[in-house]
Amino acid sequence: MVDGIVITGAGIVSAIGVGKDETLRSLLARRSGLPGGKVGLSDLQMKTILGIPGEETVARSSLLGILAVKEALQEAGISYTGTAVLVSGTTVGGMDITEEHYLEMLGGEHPELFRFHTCGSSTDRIAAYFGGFGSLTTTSTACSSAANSIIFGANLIRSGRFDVVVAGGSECLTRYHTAGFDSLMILDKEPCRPFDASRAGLNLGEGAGFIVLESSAHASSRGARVLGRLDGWGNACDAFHQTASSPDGEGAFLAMTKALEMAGLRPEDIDYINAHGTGTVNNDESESKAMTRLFGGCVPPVSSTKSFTGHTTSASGGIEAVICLLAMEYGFIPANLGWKEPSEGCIKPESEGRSKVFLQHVLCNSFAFGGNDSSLLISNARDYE
Amino acid sequence: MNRKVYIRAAAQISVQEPLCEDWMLDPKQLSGPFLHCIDPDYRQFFSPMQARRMGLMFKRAMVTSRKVLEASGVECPDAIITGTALGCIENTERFLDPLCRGGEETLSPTAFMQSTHNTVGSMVAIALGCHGYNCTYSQDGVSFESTLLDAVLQLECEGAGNVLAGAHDEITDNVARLMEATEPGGYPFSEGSVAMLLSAGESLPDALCEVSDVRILSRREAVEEAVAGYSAEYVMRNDVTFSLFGRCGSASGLAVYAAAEMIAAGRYSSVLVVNESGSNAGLVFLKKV
Repeated sequence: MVDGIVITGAGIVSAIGVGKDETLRSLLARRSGLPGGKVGLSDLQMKTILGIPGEETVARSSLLGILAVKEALQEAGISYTGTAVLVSGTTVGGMDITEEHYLEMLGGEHPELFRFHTCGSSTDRIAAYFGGFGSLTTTSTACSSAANSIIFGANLIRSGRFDVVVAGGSECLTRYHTAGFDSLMILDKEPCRPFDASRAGLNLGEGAGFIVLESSAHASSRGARVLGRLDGWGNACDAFHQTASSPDGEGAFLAMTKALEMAGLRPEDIDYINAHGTGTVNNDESESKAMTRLFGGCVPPVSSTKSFTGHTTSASGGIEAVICLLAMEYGFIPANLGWKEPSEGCIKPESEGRSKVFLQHVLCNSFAFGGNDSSLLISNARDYE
Repeated sequence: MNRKVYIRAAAQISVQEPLCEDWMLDPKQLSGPFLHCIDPDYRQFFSPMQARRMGLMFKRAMVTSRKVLEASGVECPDAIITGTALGCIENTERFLDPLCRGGEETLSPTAFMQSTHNTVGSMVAIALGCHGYNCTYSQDGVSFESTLLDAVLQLECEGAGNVLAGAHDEITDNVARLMEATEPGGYPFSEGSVAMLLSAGESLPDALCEVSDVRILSRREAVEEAVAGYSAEYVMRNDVTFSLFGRCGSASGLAVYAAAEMIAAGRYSSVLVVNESGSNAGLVFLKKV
């Protein structure tokens, strides 16, 4: 089995920026993309940037995904993807196209547009932009999809099957899931306030985040710059309720515990947790409980960057992994915007953020409907000096 | 130690006779634009109250999953991995249709929360009280190959002993019409559920077959060269798969089930299931134990 998985490229697009540079500036300037959560580019603008004909039908999740994958591949210095794997996470897939044309399609007008509906077709289009990948697939575990893509990709490398995997997720805003979350009464019309006493729900967001995973040996043989190491991960099922998290945070606790065990680290080795932190009453309490169970009285600094990007659902694990890489590279802890007042049963997050810190190991949490809970343990490429 | 991956048990509910292998002697000839599964009588599996709360796809997933767990003597697997091409399309339509007709006030939160692709995999976990690894794949025709590959990885790399792998797809009138427009002609569209229990070990004489290799090829030009590399006794392709199970997102899962049972029955010593139904190709190589 292959030892050591490194990250050699990262790409991100969300409501706080297109690309790592703009994202970093927004995080440091505490500039939120809420409550809208929308990426500031229309489909046509993205097609123009990417050189895709304006008249071609492309799911927005594919366009966002292409932007992020392109940035990640460029940073990794990889131009040929024919032997690499693409693992994307999405739930919406091409729902933006389906919901726009559904009634027409049922009436017999352009029913072939249905082929854009599936999650798989969204990933196929991303791969096609780069001339195809050697292999690809799509995870769909709702809000932890991207994190699970990264875990699956890491295992593909660990097993020795592949040297390079581009993994993450992509999701666009649709009426379908906006109305869906609204029907569950967990949307806040104001900017979300993760872990705050007054929190009243989440804001949806959109975007994509992908990282290039490589075996450490492959990265060093080609002299690639290492951004970070994926030292551990955990995937567990809360097995409690279809949409609610358990009061004891069992799934979250198990996911974080597995990640630590795999990396051979102790709780006190973790310098920062990028929380799932959606801003719903239920999630933040359950996640806090899980952190308290694992870390006792010494919970490391925590923030939810969903207070910047909104909840980008299937993309969130990818977007937040890239944010963790930025935090490690530039030595800061992102703020947890909107937090004012401690909430009973919740951890106290880093509301202001911190600068000039060294982050050796961070956890990045992604939890989902169905209790599909995952946690990634990312380590700094450099050691503390 | 040379740990191999085995399929210990497999069960299906499909357009053929469900929950048995008797259909293999005289498979049903498929006709019509689309076909629903032949469902068993679910009253023998669920109380009326349980049954009321469950969609058909979940009932199928539960029944096939329980059957393979029982056959293998496993109560709670170490991992539950699920593939679905279209997800919970019936609940998706139940939410989408009123949304598109402007009936926002009639939207059902239950339909929404049970429309995400991971609904089946997580409901099985909830029913079994299984806190282990849980993932769902949705890559059109190769959703099952993705699932099987992850199952192999869980057994190879993550130390899992037993993995419950499944593929579940359902069809509705509307979706059958839309699919026909997308991919016209050919065998009827269909639906199906298949569950398998996989284990790793040095030797498992009671298993149906060994899973020797699983690959997803995104570059179609590489398929025939790869097929030739396996020297399989029997190569099972889409025309056979679709003639048995119809065109269904989970068809390759049903094909692997059929191939595993054929090997267990001594008909072949190795089978390569080649699936080229979409933009990607799946290859699953099974060998006799």
